[in-house]
Amino acid sequence: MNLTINDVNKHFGPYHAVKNLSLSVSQGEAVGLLGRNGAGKTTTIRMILGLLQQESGSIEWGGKSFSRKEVKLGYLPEERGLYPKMNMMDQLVYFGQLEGMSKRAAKQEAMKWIERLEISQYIKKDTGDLSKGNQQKIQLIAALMHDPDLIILDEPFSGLDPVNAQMLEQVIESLIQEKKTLIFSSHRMESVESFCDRVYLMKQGEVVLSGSISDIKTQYGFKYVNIESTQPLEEYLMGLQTEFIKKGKEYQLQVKTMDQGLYLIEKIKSLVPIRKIGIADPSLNQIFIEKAGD
Amino acid sequence: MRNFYLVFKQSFRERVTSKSYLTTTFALILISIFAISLPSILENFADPKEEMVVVSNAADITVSELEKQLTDWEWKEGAQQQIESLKKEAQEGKIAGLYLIDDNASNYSVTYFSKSNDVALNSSLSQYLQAKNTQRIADSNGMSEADQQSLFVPVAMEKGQFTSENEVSVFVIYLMLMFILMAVMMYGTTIATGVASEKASRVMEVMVTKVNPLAMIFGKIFGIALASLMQFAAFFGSVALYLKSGLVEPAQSLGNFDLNLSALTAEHCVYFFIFFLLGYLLYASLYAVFGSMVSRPEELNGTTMPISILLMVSAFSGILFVMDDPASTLSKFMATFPFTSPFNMIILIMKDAASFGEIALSIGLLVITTFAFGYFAAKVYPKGILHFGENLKLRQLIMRKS
Repeated sequence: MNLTINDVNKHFGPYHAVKNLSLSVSQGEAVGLLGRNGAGKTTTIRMILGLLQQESGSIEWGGKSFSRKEVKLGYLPEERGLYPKMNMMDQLVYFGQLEGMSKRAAKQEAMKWIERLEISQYIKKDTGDLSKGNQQKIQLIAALMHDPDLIILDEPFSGLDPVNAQMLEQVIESLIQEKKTLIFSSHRMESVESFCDRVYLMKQGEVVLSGSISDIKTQYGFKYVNIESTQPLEEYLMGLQTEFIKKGKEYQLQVKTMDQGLYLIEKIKSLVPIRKIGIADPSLNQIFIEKAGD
Repeated sequence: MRNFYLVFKQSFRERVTSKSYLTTTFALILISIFAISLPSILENFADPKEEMVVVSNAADITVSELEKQLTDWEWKEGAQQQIESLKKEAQEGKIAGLYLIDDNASNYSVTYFSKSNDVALNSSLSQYLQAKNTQRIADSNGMSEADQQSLFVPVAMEKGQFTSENEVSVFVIYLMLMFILMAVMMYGTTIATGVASEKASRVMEVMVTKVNPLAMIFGKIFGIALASLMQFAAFFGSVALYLKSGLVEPAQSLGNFDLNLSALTAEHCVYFFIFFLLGYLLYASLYAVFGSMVSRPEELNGTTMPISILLMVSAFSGILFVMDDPASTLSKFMATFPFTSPFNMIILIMKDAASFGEIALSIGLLVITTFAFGYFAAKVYPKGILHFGENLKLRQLIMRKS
């Protein structure tokens, strides 16, 4: 089943939070929803979840109006959302049962995930006594244990240390391999780049960039020449009348075409001794800063 | 329905296993048992009987007779030659009093020496001696034994009932009103706190994706209602068992309060339960909505104040106006208007002042209003729980689009 959002709008008072938004997610596809804080990502997610009602446009699942009753949803919110005085297993069984699982099935599935995420030692502990990372793991289990049709992960890496972040990446990787339909909202561009087939970049409620990551990079219209030298290059680069930025030992020059890049490489090589030089596509992070920034 | 049951079960379990619930239940039971036992406890610490010395010149007034008749004091016999020393002892407070009883042929006379003027003793002694003298005169005049006995038959004096036999006593009605008021306020606040806590912990954001708001709000309300009924059952059950155990005398513990439950019928109890339950549900829906308006449980006090005022006005208007004149137009209105009827129709029913039609109308309106407010609560509740930051006002919550 495909998720399709057509020309959706949402205001909060005078503030136009989502403007004429259209997006689609095919079955088995992982789509990234990007944007700065306040860009309209969470409002969009809440409209998909049915927590907020759009003022115009439509949200459809498999060609029919999206209904929470008919779609098995797995939602991981940005904020921790657990009962602090309930132990981990009881909480997961409760959430599983609310999603229609039997008590036994919920217990079995929860146990499977608890072992996979290596938190079985906290099984009888109240969730309020656990670390943020472990709470995030419980939330992830609650979002996935009922085998949802559509998975929405809103900032899944927030508050995770590198070890837990890596574990979460492995889980997301496996969901993608299982061809789960996934909407992924994150500020970690490297994760989005590695997981998502396509992205939608939102700014002030509007989609300002969309498509597959490779298309976006191609359409972006810039490439970067990265140079590392044994001596300062500012004087030579200014002489070439080209814009550049210095990042540590590396100089980065923005060029419009591959030919322009190759020409600059040859020119620089003839002027100064070079340790490392290359031409690269922009990263998603660079595109994000360029497009989503003020 | 399944999710309603799951939320209901979870809310009930969460409530009854919470420390505050267990502490409150035990505290309520212990405080009531202590309050009931207090008169008996105080009696054990009462001052010992005061020692009185009597020197009697009347042949028929003996110490043993006084001990039988005036049991609240300890009587000792003194000799004529000790009078001066006994006076001194009474003056110094070594004995509570010295009573000199003389027989003057026509009557007795008493001279007493005491630092404190024991009015009760003086009155009792005077009555006793007067009766004794009357008997003596009757004897000397050859009055028959039967006539003599009738001289001392006390005048029949009985405490009159303000209400007719089939009316429930005012004290029992007060207890019912206080029960509804306390239960609605205590458990309504629990609901509001629960909603605010879930909102603060952000668990609501997950829950609203899993459960229909109507099932969520009513599951919570009914779960807490069952916990509250259990708490009251434990409280009343323990008190009843304690009173029945014979460890204390109920009449002594309850003082002058008329806790005569004989006028209470099964019908009364059913009506009481209906009005309590509907009133609780109506106010609980309001508490849930108000709980969803705040961002943190600590901010609840100010926000739920209008509900508390409405509850107080409803309960106390009943005590002040409806109780005195149940047939007045104001009383009928208060017993029919859904927000005040849970308190005031109970008064009318217990005072036998409401027709079946009036009761049915009151219940009907209350049911409709409870459902309407339940539906309204379920509609605005998700808007409130998904709003973070500044507290919402009720008008904003109603006007706000989801």
